[in-house]
Amino acid sequence: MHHARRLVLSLGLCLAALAVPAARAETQPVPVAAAVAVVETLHSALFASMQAGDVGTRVRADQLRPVVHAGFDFPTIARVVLGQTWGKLDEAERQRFLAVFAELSVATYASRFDSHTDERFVTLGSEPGRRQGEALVRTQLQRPASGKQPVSLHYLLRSDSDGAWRIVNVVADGVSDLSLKRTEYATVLRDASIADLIARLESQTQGLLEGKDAE
Amino acid sequence: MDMDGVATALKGVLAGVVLAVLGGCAHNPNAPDPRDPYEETNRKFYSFNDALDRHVLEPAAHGWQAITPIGFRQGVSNFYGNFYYLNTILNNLLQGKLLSAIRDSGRVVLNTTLGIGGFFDVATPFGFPAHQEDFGQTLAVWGVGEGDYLVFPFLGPATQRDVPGFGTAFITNPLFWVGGLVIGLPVGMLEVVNTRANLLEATRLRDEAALDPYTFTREAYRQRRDYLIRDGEGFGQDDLYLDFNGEFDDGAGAGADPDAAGLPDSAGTSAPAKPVDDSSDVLKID
Repeated sequence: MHHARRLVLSLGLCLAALAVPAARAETQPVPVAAAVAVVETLHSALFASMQAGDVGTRVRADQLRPVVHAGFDFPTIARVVLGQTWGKLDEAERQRFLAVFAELSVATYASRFDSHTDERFVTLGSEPGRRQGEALVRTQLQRPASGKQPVSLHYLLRSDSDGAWRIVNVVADGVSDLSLKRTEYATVLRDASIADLIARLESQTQGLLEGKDAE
Repeated sequence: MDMDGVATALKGVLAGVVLAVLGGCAHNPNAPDPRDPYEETNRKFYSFNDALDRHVLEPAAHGWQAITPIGFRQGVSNFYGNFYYLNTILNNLLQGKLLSAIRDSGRVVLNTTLGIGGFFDVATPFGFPAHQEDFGQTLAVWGVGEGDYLVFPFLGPATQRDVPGFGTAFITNPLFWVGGLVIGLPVGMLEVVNTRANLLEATRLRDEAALDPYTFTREAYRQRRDYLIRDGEGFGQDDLYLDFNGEFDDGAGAGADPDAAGLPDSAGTSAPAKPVDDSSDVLKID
C-alpha cells in the first residue's frame, strides 16, 4: 500500500515534469509586454542622455543612475558574474561588490551614450525565455543616416516574486555582456583577491567618469 | 609574376605558424578553460601582437586618420571589402544559401559598376546589404566543431576551425592574384592601416571595458563567430541563458554550466550550426 502510493507519486511527478515545458510555452506570453516596457524605459533614458549634449559624464551618470538601478537585477547579475566566488564572500563583500558593479554599469552607459547624431532604438519583438519567469526582448540601435549596420541589442529579463521584470543580461551583436564579464572576472580572480577585483572595477569606473570630462 | 610561387610561399608560412603553435608549444589539458589549452602560448602571441599594434600599427592608423577624411577611409574600406566578396559568395554556395549567393553577386556587380570599382557602397540602399561569410563559418554549418582557440602572430585570434579560412580568403581575393608581392604588399599594408584606423574607436572602447584584454578578446571573438555562423539570428544560448537559479557552479567559464532545464550543453563540443528547434531564431515583429 505504502509502496503503491510512492509509485503513484513518483509517476505523477514525472508526468508533471514532462508537462512543464509545454505548459510554459502556452501560458507565459501574457506578461512579457511588461518586460518590453522595462527595456524601453532604459532606452528612453539612454536616448535622453545622448541628446543632453555636452554636460559631462558625471551629470549623465547622475541622470541615468535611477533608471539603471530600477531596470537591472543587480543581485542576480552579481551572483552569476562571480560564479563560485560569490559563495565564498561574506555579506559586507557582497554588498561592496554589488554597489561597485552597479556603478560601473551606470558609468559605462554614461560614457557610451554621450552624443546623438541619427541613432534610434527600435523594439523588434519579445518572447518568453527558455525558462519559467524569463523574457527575451529584441531591439536594435539603428543609425540610418550614417549608413552603418544597426547594432542588435537583445535583453534577457527575469520576473521576481511580485511580477516585476528586471534585466539580467544584454547581448550586443551576439556578444553576451554577462558571459563575457563572468569569464573575464574568473580569469582575474585566478591570481587576485576579490578586494583586488573590486579595486580594479572602481578605477575602471573612475576612468569612465573622468575620461570624457577631461576632454 | 609567379603566382604559384606566392601561393606556395604563403602556404609554407601559414603551415609553419600552425606547426609552431600546435607542435612546439605546451598543450595543457588542465588549462582553466578547456577550449583554450594553449593559453600560455596564446598569451605570448597576444602580447606580441599588442606591442606591434601599439608601436607600429596604431600610430600608423592615427597618422592615416589625420590625413584622410572619414568618407575617404570608408571608401577605401568599401573598395577592399568588395574584393573579399568572392569569398562570401563562394561560402554562401558551400552553405547551400543560393538566394544569398545571388543577392551578394548582385551587390558586387552594383558596387563594382555604379559604385566605381567598389569605392562607393551603392548596393546597401538598393536593398543588398553586406554579409560576412567565410570558410570557417561554412565548416561550422557542415558540423565541424570549433576546436581549440589559437592566437597567431600578426594574424590574431582564430579557432582551429577558422584556420583553413585564412587560405580561402587569400586565394579568392583578386588582389592577391593581380599584384604579386611587389604591388600586393603595399596594397595589403594600406588595407591593414585603413582597417585599423576604422577600428580606433572600437579598440578605445575595448581598452575602457576590459580588465583582462586577452580573455575579453577571446570571449568576444568566440561569441561573435557564433553569431556570424547563425547569420545574426539567435546566438549562443549558453552565453545568454546563464544559470541564474543555480547555486555557485564551477565558475571556470561561461557556457560550462550544466543547464537547470536539462537542455544539452553544446558549448565547445559541437558546432552550433543552424539550430532547427530554436524558437529564438524566428524574429517576431510586434
